[in-house]
Amino acid sequence: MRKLLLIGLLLAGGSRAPGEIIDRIVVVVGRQIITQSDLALEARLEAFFRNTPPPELRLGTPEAVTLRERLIRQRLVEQDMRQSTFPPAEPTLILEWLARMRPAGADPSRYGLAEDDLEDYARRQIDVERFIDQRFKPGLQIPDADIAAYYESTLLPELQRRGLSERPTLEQARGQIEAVLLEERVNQSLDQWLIEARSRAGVREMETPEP
Amino acid sequence: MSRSIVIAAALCLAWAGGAAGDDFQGSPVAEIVFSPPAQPVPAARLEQLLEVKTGAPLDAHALRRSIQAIFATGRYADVQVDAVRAPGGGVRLTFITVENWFTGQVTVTGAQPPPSQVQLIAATRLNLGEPYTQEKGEAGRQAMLRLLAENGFYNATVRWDTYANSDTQQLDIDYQVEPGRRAHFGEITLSGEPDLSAEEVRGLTGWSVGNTITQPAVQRGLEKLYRHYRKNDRLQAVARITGKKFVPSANRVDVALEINPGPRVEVALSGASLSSKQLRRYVPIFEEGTVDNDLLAEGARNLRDHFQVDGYFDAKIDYNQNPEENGVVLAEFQATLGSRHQLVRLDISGNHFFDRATIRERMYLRVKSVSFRRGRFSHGLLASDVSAIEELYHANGFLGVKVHTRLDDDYEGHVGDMALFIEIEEGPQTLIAELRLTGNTTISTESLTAQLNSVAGQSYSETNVASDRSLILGRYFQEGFPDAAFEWRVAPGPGPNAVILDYTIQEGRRQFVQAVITGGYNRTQDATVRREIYVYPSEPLSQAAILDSQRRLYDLGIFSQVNTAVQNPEGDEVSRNVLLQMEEARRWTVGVGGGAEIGRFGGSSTDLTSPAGNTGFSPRVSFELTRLNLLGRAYTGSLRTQFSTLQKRGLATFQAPRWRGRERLTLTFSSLYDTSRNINTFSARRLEGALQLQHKINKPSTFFYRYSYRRVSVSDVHITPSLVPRLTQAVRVGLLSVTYVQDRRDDPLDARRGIYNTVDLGLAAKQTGSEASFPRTVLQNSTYHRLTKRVVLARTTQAGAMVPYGNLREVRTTATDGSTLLTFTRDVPLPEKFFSGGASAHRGFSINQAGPRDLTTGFPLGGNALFLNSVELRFPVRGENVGGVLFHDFGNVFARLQDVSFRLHQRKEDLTDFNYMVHALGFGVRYRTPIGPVRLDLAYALNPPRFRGFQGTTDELLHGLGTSTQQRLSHFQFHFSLGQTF
Repeated sequence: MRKLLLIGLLLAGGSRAPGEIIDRIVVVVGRQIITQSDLALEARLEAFFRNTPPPELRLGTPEAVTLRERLIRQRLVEQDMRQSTFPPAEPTLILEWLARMRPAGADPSRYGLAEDDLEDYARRQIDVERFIDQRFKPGLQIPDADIAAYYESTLLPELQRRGLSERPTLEQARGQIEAVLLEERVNQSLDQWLIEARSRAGVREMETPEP
Repeated sequence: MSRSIVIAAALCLAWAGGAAGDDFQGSPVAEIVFSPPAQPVPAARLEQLLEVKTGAPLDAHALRRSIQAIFATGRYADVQVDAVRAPGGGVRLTFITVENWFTGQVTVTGAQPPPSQVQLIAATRLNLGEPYTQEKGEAGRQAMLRLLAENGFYNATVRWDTYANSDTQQLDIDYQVEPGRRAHFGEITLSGEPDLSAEEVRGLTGWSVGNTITQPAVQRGLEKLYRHYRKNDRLQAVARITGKKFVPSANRVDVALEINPGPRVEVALSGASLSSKQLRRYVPIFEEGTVDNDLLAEGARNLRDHFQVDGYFDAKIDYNQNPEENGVVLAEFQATLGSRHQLVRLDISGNHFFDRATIRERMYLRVKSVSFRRGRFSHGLLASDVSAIEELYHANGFLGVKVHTRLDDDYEGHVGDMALFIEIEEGPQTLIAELRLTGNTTISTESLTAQLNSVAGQSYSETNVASDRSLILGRYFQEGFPDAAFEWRVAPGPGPNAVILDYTIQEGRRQFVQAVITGGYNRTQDATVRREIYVYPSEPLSQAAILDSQRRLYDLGIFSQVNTAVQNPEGDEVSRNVLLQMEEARRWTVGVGGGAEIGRFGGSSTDLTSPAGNTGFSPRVSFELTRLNLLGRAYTGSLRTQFSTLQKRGLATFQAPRWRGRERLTLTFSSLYDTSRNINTFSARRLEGALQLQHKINKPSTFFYRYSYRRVSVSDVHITPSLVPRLTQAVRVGLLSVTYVQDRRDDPLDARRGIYNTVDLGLAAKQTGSEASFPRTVLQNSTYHRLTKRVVLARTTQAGAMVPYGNLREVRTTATDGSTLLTFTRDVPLPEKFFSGGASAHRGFSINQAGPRDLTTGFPLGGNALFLNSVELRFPVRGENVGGVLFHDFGNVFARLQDVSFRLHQRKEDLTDFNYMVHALGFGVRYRTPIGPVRLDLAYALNPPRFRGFQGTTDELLHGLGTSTQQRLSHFQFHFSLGQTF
């Protein structure tokens, strides 16, 4: 029985292609693509910056799906940046970002990465942040009523739940609450924009083998 | 660990991102192949695109970029790379590709409008040349089903077939619709705060039970509801359909309608007086049927303009919309008029570079005149005019121009009179010392600068630079550089008031035409289509050439649609396929018409009492049959017939535009049968065959070369019996003619400026097959002069002459006693003579009444010479559409060329003298329509001819009975017609 299963598996592999597929298009995002090697590279980059061991990514696994979704969002942002001729990040910013985020003593070659890969990754992270800030933050204002409502309905109950007796006044907490609410609004706008951008660009996921 | 598990794991690894490819990373690439071997991108181009190279070590980054580059061409839907160890060492790469398909012709069959085929096709959102996928096809089908349901076809089915052409990667999509039965309106459920019952809504909207439901019917119903509310001043009413429920068992649609009538809207004006009719006219909320801030602001502007024109130059209008109170919303306008003025003087000084007229052209301010009783002035208009003057100077290099204004109130002691003094301080003119062009490698500097405004020695201005930018980029787009970019900067020049201009061009990558793919026609010959296409393979891709080809194909008149696109528009390709997709128009056109004419052509055919004609009425029917695209060559055949008491006419024509492939040539064959009675004297019958070649030399100039051969005869003749044989015998006329037309009018239907000249030279001779011999010349010169923006002086002069020559021709007729009468004549046959008078000729006469008349009966005889001069002053009367004219026409028709005389009066007591100029003065009204002005003219002839007429019938004339009377043409003539007189 085991032999039959083995032969079956071998035949299945043999009928697919003479050799093995070493790279392929996984997703088409408008005019851009995400390849199998893009996903692998992204996984290695993430592992490098998290300082975790190099991964073995399989298509179709939850990890690969999460990565794929992240790259789709990144491509959508990049497309919009290109259309709006968004200026790329300055090299000094990239170097600063790398100096800040690079794990101490980590060796990129262990992950199959070159310095260019790291810089490219840094550039993409910075650009996406800048894009979000510039596109969604300007003009956003948090009404006083919302700040007061958050103070009353979220902050105070939370402090009470945690048993903290010292409670800041509304004025003392205003700045932080405003920052939190601003971030929430930006995220809401971004989520909405991503839904629309995804539908506008047309995202086509290619058939990939089961993990 | 068992072997089977190891092997299974290895197979899984083959799918693992990056891990499997790592086995080959760094191995030399032994061979690169494509599967399938036939690829849509040429092999050489593919080789350029691939970063992985044979012999080089395999690099994952290079492989990824290779896939990206191949995909970016837009020609592929999928790319995978397969690797295998090569027998001789290294790795063999196979790029496994799936081609893209591109949308071709989208057709719909089986639909019952509404929705129309065009609407259904538009709903699919499948655009010519764009990549096609199964998902898009299905989305198109779903969109069609939605549209069909909106039009009552809830049980419709749509399926589609595709027809692929692997040579072009184009895919035609044919949707087949089975609409089923259209549903009817059912129940109407109201929500909101309706003030109408469901039955009342039904009555208003026309959504009666049993009426079929369509999108237009629903829309019309809603519009009627809105109209109802608008009529009751409820401009904020909202009526919207909140739901439609299809009930299959009854094939009906129940409609849920939300109605909120909203408050009534009233408008009030304080601080000034205006009739409520005028107020409603100026505040456009009633016209638009809605209230918003923009419309109220527009209303305020209109009111301000009204009062300013009325002399309240400082008038200010404020407005506000009050909250609803007792079901009424009041829009209140408050006028602050200030004191009343009139602008009596406007002086401009200091202008040396531009004359006063050039400056005034750009200004809104006006001194008091007929059009502006108190002039036109406001401080806002003054500021705007100052800016306009400054812009004019800036655009011509006077960068430091200053415009000073001084306003004198109560000018020269007259209260309310205002004088405006504008002083222009021009300052120095900045000139361009040098223009430097860089980055233009494909188009030479000489060729580019020849088009530009900002060249050395010319004045410098940003307006000119902007214009140069458009010219340069336009040129590059035409030459196949869609990504061309332009930058400029200016630097101080070598001397004072001189600058150096730097234009930098980034040409970008040039695109070329790979192939021109046409489709959508099956009756038209391919050569006929190809001849009109000015886009050629290997040439630069020019949008202008594509649009020009589209226009030319439309101009053939045989296509109802010509769509153009570049295949694979998003693809990163150097050479592109250009698509021209046509839809052939219906070939047969049938037209049936009816109408009537009113004019002075009435009178009995036997009664000779009124040679000038009585007012008559002639009903008319017409039938027209046209066949387009004969022989698939864009030729046109047509048959036009007309039947009325005045005219019976049949005209068959065959027209070959762009004859023998020459764009400027049009060949026409025609044959005509015509019996008409538009001249009181006789009925003319004409049988004619003609061949004409039209040669358009350039936009204004056209030559017509024409040969016509006709047999003309007359009947029902109302002239002295002794003249009958000579003038009325049937004659064959072969006329060879050439006509030159020069038309430089701005609008042929209603010219305001320009010139129109015609020269018509013809010869009827024995050699041309004619029984009567005469050369014929008609010259016309018309000019149009714009005196002010809307006042035009138009004039035209027309002169013509025919001189019979050659041998006498024999005319045989049978006398009343049966004997044969033999007479000889060389005169021009009666129907060939010049006749004049009427709406489009001399308006002092009714139709064809000018010139010599029969000395016994007084009926017009026509002549061999013609002169006519008309002058018209055309001016506005009310708004844009109603105008008026004052005119003076003079001229006449003369028996012979040597009879032409500019004498003012008919010789005293000489009722046979017609050799003088008849003058007429008059006025007319014009109402502008899209097909030209409708006009009514009333003319007063100063010196109409007196002549001898006959009181009696034709029989009485033949038998020497009846009485001779002295008659005179009426001084007054009226004309009703379409189009300007000339």
